[in-house]
Amino acid sequence: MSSNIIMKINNVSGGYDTPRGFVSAVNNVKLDILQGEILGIAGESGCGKSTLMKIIYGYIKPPLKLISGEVLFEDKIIVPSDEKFLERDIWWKKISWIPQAAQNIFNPLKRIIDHFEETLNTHLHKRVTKSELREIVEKHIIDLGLPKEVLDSYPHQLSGGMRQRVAIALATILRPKIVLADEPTSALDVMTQKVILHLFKKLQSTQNMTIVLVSHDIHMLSVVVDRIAVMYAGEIVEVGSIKDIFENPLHPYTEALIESIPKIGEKKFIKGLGGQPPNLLNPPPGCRFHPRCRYVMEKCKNQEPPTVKIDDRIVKCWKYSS
Amino acid sequence: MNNLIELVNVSKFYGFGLLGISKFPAVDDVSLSIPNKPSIYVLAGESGCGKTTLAKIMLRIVKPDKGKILFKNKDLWKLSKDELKEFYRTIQPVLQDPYDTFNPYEKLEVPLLKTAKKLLGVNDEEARSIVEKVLEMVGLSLDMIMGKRRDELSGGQLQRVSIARSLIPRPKLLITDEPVSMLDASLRVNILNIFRKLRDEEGLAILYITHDLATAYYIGDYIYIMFRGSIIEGGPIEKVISEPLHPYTSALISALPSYEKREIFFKEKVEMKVVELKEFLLKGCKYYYRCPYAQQKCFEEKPPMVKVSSERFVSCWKYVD
Amino acid sequence: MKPKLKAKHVAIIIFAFIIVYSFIISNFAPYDPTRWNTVPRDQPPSLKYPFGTTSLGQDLFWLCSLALKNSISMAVLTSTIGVVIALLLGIIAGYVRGRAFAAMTFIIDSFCVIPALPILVLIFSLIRESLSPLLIALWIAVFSWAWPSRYVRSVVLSLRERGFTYVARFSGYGLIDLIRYHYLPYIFGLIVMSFFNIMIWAIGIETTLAIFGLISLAEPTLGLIIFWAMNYQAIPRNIWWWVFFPTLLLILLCVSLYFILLDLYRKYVLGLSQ
Repeated sequence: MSSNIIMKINNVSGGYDTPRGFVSAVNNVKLDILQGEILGIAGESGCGKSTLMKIIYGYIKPPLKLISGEVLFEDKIIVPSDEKFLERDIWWKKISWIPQAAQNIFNPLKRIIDHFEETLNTHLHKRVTKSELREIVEKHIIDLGLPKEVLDSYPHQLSGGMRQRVAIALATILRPKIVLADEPTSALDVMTQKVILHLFKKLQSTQNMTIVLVSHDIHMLSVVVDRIAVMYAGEIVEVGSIKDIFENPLHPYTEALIESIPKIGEKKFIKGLGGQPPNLLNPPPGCRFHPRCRYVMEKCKNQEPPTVKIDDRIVKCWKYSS
Repeated sequence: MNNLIELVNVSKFYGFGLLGISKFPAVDDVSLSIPNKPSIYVLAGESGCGKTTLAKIMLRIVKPDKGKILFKNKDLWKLSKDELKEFYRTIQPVLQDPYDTFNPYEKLEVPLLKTAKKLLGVNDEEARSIVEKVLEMVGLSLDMIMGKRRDELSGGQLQRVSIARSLIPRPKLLITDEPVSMLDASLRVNILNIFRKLRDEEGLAILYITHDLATAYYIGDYIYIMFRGSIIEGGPIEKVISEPLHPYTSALISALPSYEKREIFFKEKVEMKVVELKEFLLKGCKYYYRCPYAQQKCFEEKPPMVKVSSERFVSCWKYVD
Repeated sequence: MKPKLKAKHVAIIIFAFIIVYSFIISNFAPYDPTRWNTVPRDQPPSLKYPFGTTSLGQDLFWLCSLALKNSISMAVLTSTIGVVIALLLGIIAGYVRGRAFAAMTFIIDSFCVIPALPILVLIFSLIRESLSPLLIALWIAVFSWAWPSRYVRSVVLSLRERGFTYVARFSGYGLIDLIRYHYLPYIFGLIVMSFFNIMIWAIGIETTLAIFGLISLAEPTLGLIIFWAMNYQAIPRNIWWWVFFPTLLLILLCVSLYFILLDLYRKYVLGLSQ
């Protein structure tokens, strides 16, 4: 993992136009992604993490709207930009996106190998024979620890976990520099989850791939990521190394999130976080977390806290600035 | 001690392949009983292991192909109308998806009041006070939900209403199928605390079906581990988690992620190369393809249930003889 | 923002006119429109006789209004009977299992496939003499319920698997309660649509049978008027209005019903899938 920044997310704000108004799903997100790292984005449903992924990837279709900000990849602006440029040069080749429930993207009438053929034929600029193609795909599949038989199967013959692994293989066949994975293990059991996390680790170590993992399961993230960005109500509230976040969480939400998820081996009573995530049609004034914060001060209720840098950590909270 | 519900050699087959003619056992010869005492029993296993099918069999939604279910020592499928009503008063479900529990067209107080009137035969006023009481038990009130439809509440709130509904007939057993998996991570523990409270203060028995061992540990007293249609290990939860007997249980526990395990997490690799259906179709031990201790005997014959201590049992050839 | 005039608004207006014309205005006929020779024969449309007169000396305007009322009434009767049967059989078919399910499926699917028109032609030609409006409606209804009941069955089948169906059992709901509180809201839209659907179809069938002379009634229907017109060779004799106006009314009725149906479809079926 180098200290090179491969992707810069500069003050991105966006949301959805709905009949009831504009939902401010992502608010002023600033984040740098380091080359070769595994970055976790932790947050619960409605925090905007999936929307952020869509925006970074450039898949911005109505009712999703980009309000302001830009995304730079290797110092070039990729968002906002022309979709044709993204399709031709970026998608699948430089940046790959594995959306939530990717196990369901497969065409039930085609075999797995057909899916690979389609992708390769669309994006490879040179002609390859069917057998050469098969060789390439087989090697990739086996590298990632999948059984060869998978290629000749139809999607419904494979379990959800197997399909998810195939989706990751499909997303990485062209060796992209960054993979964005949205809840890659959420519907799967822990064993499959371990296999998939191992897959990501392998991609990082053997191909120097940068991986962004989005999940609500902060414990799952803790075993595989290098850094974590915590999102709440559309904003990044804390960023830090995995060690810092777990051993010394700064933001009250991070603290509550880590505490409130039961860990195996502990039966001690956990007092959960009260209240609900805010309605993003009408977010609360000041700090978006203030209605549920145990350290809330008067200031928090009407002034948006600034984003503060502490060593190599970032936190957006009035506790840390005057 | 009498049992609330008892499963005796229950099997359920589903079809696969062309026209669904070939059959595989989603639930394979399972025997299980839930005694009448305040405890939380966990039924844990991966998705697809058959635990939801087992829950549906216990709730009389699915009829098993082999074996029988005994409620108060009578066959569940041969109950009289009155006995069936007694069943519905004693055992109640809490489903995984709170939005699937309620009809989108109904105002939420309606099914609650109706449940009270139909199952308990009370009048309007009594029904109201019962509903008010159960809502209080889950941290809500009638005012909060009055007039609202299911889509107007959050997942967490709606699941509380669902639990409240199940408490109306004063049941002895709640069968909960992944009751928190659809809720936000930080809100799950609130619902889990409700279950703990129900066990401690109301003396309820709860069957908590889940794939998440961490939440299971937090509230569970006993645990049954299920794999590909069979129950392979059972016992008090602290013992099973700290000293697992079955190789699958060990693998499951070591696959649980936590920050403290970071350094060693990937040291032990998990191999998952076989297509799922093959495992279901094994005549012997279903864990054969993945087990590091697998022998020929494991492939040929299904291991019997071995009692390792007064409360622990395991289905594995390692412990026979 | 000016409200746009959509097809459904036009349809509702036309349908309203038709109802007024057939049910209200027909009561004000100055003479019995079916009686022969109440007015001069074969008169083309004019101010005095807006739709002209027939070769039997009947005022077409008043005749059509009465005939329209009868056609619509019979269609409504057919539709009601058909919808009730569809509802009953559809719910039963969706609810039973095993052999009963197979039997119900066989019955419903058979009735879907049986060609209604030829069989009705056969039946009506045999019992032509003893026909009454009620019998006509009944016989046509026999062939009308099959397709709607398939819809009802499929909705019930899918609802049976839903969580709130199980939970309702544990809430003490019996079958009637289940249907009333949980299934009916889903089925309701389909029922209304089926009602209109059957109406359009029934009008078409009844008119066709009438044109073929298989319905002999004292009360006129639109189809009967056309039958009489053809019997008296209206077209070769250039008495075009005798065929034109009943046909026009028939078309207006069916088209307006269709657009209303389409709007209901958008609201209930597409709305349901959201």
